Amino acid sequence: MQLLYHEFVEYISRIMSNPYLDVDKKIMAEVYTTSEPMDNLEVLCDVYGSRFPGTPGDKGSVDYMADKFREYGCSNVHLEEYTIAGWTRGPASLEVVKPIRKSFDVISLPHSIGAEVESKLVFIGDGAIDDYEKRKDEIDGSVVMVTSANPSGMKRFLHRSEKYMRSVMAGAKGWIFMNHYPAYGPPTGGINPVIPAVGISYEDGSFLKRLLEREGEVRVNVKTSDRNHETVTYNVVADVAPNKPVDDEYVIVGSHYDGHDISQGAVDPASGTVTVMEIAKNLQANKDQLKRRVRCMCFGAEEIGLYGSYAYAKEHEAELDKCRFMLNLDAAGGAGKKGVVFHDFPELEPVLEKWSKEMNAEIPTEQRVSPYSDHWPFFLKSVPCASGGDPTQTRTGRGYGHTKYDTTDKVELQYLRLAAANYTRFLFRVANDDEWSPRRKTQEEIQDFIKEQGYDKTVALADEMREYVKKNFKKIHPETEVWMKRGGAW
Amino acid sequence: MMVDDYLDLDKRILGEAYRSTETMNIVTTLCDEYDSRWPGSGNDKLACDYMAEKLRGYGLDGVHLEKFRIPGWIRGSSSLSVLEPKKRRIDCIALPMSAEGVVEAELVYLGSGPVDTYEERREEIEGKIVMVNSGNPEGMKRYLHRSEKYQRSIISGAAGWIFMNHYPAYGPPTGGVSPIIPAVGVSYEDGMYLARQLDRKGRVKLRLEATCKNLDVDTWNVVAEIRGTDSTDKWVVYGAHYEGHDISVGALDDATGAACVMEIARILSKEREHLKRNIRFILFGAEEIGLYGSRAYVETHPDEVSKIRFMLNFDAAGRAGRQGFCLHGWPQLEEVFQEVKDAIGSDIPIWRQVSPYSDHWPFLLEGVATATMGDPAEAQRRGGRGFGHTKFDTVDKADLRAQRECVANAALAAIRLLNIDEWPAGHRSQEEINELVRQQDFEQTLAVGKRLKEYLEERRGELRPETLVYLDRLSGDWDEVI
Repeated sequence: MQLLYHEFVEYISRIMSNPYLDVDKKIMAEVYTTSEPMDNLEVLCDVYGSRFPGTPGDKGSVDYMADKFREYGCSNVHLEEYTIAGWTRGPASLEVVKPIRKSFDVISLPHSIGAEVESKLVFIGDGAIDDYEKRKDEIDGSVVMVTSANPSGMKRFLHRSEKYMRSVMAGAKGWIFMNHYPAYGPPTGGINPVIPAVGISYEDGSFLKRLLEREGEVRVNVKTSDRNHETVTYNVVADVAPNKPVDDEYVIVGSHYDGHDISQGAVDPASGTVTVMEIAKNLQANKDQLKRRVRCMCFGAEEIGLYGSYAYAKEHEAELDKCRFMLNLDAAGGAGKKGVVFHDFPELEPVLEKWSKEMNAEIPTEQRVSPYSDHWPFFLKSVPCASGGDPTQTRTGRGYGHTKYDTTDKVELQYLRLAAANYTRFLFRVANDDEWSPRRKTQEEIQDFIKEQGYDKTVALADEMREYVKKNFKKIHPETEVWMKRGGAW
Repeated sequence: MMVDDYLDLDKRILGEAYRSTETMNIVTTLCDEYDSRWPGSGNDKLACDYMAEKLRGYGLDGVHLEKFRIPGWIRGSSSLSVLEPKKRRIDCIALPMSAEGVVEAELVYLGSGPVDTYEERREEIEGKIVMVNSGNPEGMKRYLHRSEKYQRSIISGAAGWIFMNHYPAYGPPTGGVSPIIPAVGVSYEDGMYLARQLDRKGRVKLRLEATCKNLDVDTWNVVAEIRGTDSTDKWVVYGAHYEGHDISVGALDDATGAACVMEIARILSKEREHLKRNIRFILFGAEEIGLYGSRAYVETHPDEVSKIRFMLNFDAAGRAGRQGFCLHGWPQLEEVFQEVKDAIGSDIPIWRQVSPYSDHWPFLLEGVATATMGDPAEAQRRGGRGFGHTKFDTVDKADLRAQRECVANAALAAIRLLNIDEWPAGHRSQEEINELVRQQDFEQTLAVGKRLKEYLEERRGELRPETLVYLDRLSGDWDEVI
């Protein structure tokens, strides 16, 4: 009896301490009786393909998303157009020309220039930071192959683009990015238009590695035929706006909608995109209890350089000081727990913990910042932000992400539902909380933070590479020229 | 104690097995130099010459190649397109022995294709392109082989056939069928796309084109032996097929098995004075498309078969998992392998099961006691062929540790198999063979073969030329179960 009494007390105190019990129940009932996110995902992936900037599926998909937001009753639904450094894939080839002749399946990496290079192959494994400088003599003038794995012992994520830039500055004339996952085919991922760059499967990369070990010297011919050119693409904007907002502060939730051109981009990012749509639908249905506006967004052109979120942050800079929070749901509907990774806002952890309790939800959290997704332009403008994710999962790479296997069949409705359930209720509280007050970083603090994390080196690296190209390249590809004039990221 | 009898010998063999890297060298050479070793590719002959040269170097006796002719197959380019409701090209590969031709028809998806489905959905299947995945139907005890799913689809009137991988990310699977209708493999992802389109739109129209050639080609087995000290004409056979599927380098299926057989030959050759009876090592060609190498061997050596006391098959041996012994019956032989387990003191699964889909089968049908190397737990975990029969079956999947363990276990077994004086497992009679196969439910499979023959006979006038050739060779007997 005593136990039951305790349970009873706990139950009462829980209702007493959850002011949104009714809203929560309504949201959960809707989320767990609909297959809407899965239906949207099938349309985005099966009908519109990769939604890569500049493809026909790009415009088709944003019109579809906008229509859906309107159907859900959102206000101010519109597209925002911008121009980016686009890219169109051409056929690519890799051939060993000495001591044997053999061709391999490869794919160009986005932003690669179209060019041909024939030289000796150098394999530098996972490409640890010191390797490039140490093996400069070997690398100079050669075609470098690096795997997609993070070098062992390395704490931060050594991004593909950094491996690429360091290879270029050690004198590489061509670049091969080898998948470290068996059977997942050649990986893709954006780089810069400086030297021809291709992706190769784990199996073919392993063959080349063995050939090098057996023969000592291997000559390869890498040929790409891609085009870098300007392209117009879009962001989709939809508001859930209360009739009488308590003030002019607002919240942004967003995910990019574009996938890599070789893939359906189902988990990355469509699972996140449809989660944003499902959140919009559910917030709209509970609008009468919402105190502040929530802006729901689908960003374009993330994969090849966060263009959509940069364009938005630039265009709407003046409004960003009223943005109380930005939640990035890039690929947020994949398998795993649906937690919140705060981008260095430790004061929000106890708030989330309190809300998780009142929601009766497991929402694991941590503090971590990476510059490789759409929260980053907001982070740079002092907006408190976070990403959806599972801090309890250790990630050893992208898995199916950035391969042609990131397809609809990898996404499960149960995770889309969990994502919608957790993030809708969380965002509802962020919008309604009158005591919400994460500390906005000053520009100085942001610069210090970037330095502290070592990301300044990555920025410096891009500038350094430009200098290197200017000094060392006898002939500069016209597309490289355009890229150099455009100037640094961030 | 028997164990003590062989203690020194066992130790020498294990010392040799666990410090050698020879198997990995062989696997690398077979795969990287000779690609798939596909029958008729030219590389099959080069690989055979290489293996024979190696075996001679090890000091084996009577090393030679045996040539045989098979119904071969050469891949062309194939294509699969969705015509309605939304045009789209799907990557596919023709299945070996597929008929050549074009089919335009609607799609029917049968999931993993349980045995009853084909009859139940006959009206739907008639004239259509059937898609079945490579998973074993739920609740099915025996392994429902691709070729049975293919044959059952044809008997229900299928005009084209799509074999969908049930593993994500492993690409389109391959695997032999027979030259009756065009048949291709597609990846899990593309298969799921087609299934979803069918769900959403109700109707999907496809165009399937298989370009390939069915033609007779020559290929080879490599044979070598070690004569024992005893003059009695009794034999143990250790064998593995060396060829892979043409789209792959066949590293785990079956370069590793071939390498293990060769390594055992090398090690036992040094210990020949301790072997009482004779052991023959055979590297079979053309297993994947119909066990042709092992069938040819049994057919051309009828006198020898009665003298074989045991045949151990190394198909896909030396890959992940424990290196155990799957006896095809013969419980009285378990003790022999138990002794190996005791001598090595490690976890070696010993179990009994029969499957017709590899090179022991022609020997088993002659009554010979047979077994296969493997691990039932690993097979269960894999839930199918894994990387096998895809282009991802490459050298980097091969693992020296597993190869060494396979060599060690099977070499110690050979000592016992060769030296037992009172051999406990005589040949099976024809009746016992029939009984064994019945127990294993393969009767159903055989019945399907018979029905297929009838089905084709009735339509003799409409058949493709390659189907006619196939039909005239068909005996409808056990040896064609695969």
